[in-house]
Amino acid sequence: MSPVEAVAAVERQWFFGQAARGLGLREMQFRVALDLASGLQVMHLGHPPSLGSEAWTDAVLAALRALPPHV
Amino acid sequence: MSCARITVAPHAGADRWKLANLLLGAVTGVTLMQRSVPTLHGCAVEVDGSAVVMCGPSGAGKSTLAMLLHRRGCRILDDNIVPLRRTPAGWEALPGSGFLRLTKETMTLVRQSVGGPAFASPSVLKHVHVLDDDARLASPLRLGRVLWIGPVPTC
Repeated sequence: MSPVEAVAAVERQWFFGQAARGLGLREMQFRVALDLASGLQVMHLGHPPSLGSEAWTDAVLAALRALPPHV
Repeated sequence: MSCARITVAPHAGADRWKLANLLLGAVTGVTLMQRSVPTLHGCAVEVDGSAVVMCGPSGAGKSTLAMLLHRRGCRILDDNIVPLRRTPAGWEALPGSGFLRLTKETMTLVRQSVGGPAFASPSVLKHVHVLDDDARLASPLRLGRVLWIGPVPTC
């Protein structure tokens, strides 16, 4: 299973889990997927300091542009 | 279950935007999965020629970040549902519905008029913001990054 497929597999559980409100399970699975998905270049941003923070958005965009394109 | 057909029988007077939100959200996600299309729950924008997908819990700010990146010149590919496909050259994100679902606070923040149809997402009331043709990308784009917004899951 490739990293993308690993994340997508977890997301699949989320979509189906919506009906069952299995959000706790989804979070646990996503953590596992992030571990599997290091090759996917998943960037963990944390919380923005405030909704719509312009400075945070600028920092995110700068970080994205500083990294080589890769999956 | 093949998901070859989706039958909708709305009640008389049902809100068509709420119905559209449901159909273009979880129903589309499940249907794509049933058809073996890998699908992420998130938003996708174009950054320097590749797709960046933002994932995270409801209310984390995925659509808000997409809108703010759009204001910095990034075209929008998807909101809420991001279908993917594998090609010989790698993964691609496929284009979506052509609108963003934004909270009143975000629409005010980006100085958009709050007049679009509203509906309740799982966590908050959102308004539909239809994207202009030049604001959206309508063709598949190579997947470049996946961003996770919000807390590190600890359970």
